[in-house]
Amino acid sequence: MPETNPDETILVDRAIEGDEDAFGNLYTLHIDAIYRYVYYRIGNVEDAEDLTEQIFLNAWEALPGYKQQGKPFTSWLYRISHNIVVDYHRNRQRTEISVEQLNPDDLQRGQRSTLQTVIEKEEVEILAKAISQLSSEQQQVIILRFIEGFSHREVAQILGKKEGACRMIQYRALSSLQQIWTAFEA
Amino acid sequence: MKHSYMNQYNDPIEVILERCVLEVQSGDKSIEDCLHAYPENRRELEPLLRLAIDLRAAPKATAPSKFKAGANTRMANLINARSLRSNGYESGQSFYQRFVRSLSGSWVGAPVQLGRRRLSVLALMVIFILTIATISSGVLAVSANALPGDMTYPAKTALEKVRLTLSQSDIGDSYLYLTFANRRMNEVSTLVERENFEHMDSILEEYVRNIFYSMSILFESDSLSNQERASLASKLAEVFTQNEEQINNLLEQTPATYKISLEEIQKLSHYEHRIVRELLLNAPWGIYRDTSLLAGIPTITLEYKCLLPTYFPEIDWAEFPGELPAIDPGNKVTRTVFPVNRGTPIPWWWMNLSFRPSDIDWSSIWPTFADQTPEFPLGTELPSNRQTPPNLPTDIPTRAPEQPTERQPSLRTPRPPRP
Repeated sequence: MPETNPDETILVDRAIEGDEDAFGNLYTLHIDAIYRYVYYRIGNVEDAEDLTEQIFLNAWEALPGYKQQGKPFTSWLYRISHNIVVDYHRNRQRTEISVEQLNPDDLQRGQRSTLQTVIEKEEVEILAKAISQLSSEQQQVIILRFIEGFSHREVAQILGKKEGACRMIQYRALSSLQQIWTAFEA
Repeated sequence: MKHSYMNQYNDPIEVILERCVLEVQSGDKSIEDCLHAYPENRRELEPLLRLAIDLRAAPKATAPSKFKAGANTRMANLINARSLRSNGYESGQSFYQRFVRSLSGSWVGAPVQLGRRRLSVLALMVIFILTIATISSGVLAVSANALPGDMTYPAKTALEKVRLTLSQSDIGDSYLYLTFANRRMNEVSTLVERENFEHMDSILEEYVRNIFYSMSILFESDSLSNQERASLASKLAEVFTQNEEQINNLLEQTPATYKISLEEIQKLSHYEHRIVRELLLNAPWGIYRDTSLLAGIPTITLEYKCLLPTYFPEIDWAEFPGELPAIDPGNKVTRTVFPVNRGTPIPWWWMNLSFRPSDIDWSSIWPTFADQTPEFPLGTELPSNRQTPPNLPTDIPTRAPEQPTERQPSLRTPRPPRP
């Protein structure tokens, strides 16, 4: 089970009481992770910024009803983030990004895998666009498991699923992502 | 713990994959070791495993620094706005907390009905009757200086409502709100002078409410032109400056028990003032050489930023030759077209304007200019002081000499570094 940070617990308690400064600290603490989560799920910087703010704003509004039960605050934030991202896709005609849009000029083909090239060139945008093509569940698992480095147990906890189910989602997510890269390389 | 792969061939692929990922990540095994342990799954496993390992090493997107830099301010603003939306009174809350919770809108939400409104027949009738009744009773003149507690004070506020109803534009409303805010502050001053603190809190609430509505229009109204928005922001900045000074004076005259409200209003005022200043500082601006106005004499058109020196005296935003009479820094620049040189050809680099670097994207507030590239990008450092260029001509001609066309200096050319 993900560990809770005692300092964070205090901040959360204070934020629940309506302490804006405490919430500001939480915001600063988690803005990168939440932004990253959103960004990799939607593949758009501007929208990711907007949604990140929306997530924290929703969190602020929902805080009075939040109860600390030994789970990390981030689990709750990721839940909110997921809902916001789902709404985002629901309310917006989803722009399908074909592999052709992954800016092939930026990538060098060779013996090394495309992803490695992407990583070497720090083409975060391309990776985000690829991830954003996965299904909602797959996106979450890929981001939480590999981008954020959570364990399976933690991912399962955040998603509210069993570990076995998460493992299967992970397998399918990697397969889908592999297909995206393969299609591109072809 | 190392696994014995020989006993796990019957594991489903997702389990094998996860096991390999963990072992490679922990350094217990290499990718090749894992693949070797599962020869039957190798073909399917290898690309997935490599992908998983690569993903773990993938670049970590971080929120853009530009976004993060202004994030706390925006969030504070949003939180304030949301707080303002929620109603309800909770014991132990401060005056300001109680107040903001009592409001029904926000700068971000819709505290006031924005946009041009149409008056219903009923509303017109009510206004007409109210106006006639007010004027005919002679209350109008008497109520102008009425204070809370006076019999004519309700007539004063009723008349304000009539004026608001008659105003048919957001910009008109916003200035009315500012006028009423100033009235409330003056009323508080008078009450304090008379050592009558009974109505102070309620009047301060009204003060904040009026400021708040004006701010709402500033930030939310779609009907404001950029010029109107800039003017309103400047006016708000002026009001804040003036009222903060007034509050400081009031604090000196007010007993400790009544100071809390004033102090909270002051804090709020500082916050709102800062937001307005940021809005102004990030207003769109443009510098255009318009030779049509003065027959070949370079002219600079300043848009909106012209308003800044009036309210931001600490910003030495233009590096003009100080000796030119037309550019007296003491003058308030209020025109949008300003003939900088007044018949004098100014060396091109004199015209460079410098603005404070900004980390807040106000393009949503200034949509018209969102796509325009400034000729001098934001981020240009402010000059620390105004200096007369070393090659300032002593004999200033009245007409611009013919400029050589091939080396015509461009406003787009970066300013040379200071010696």
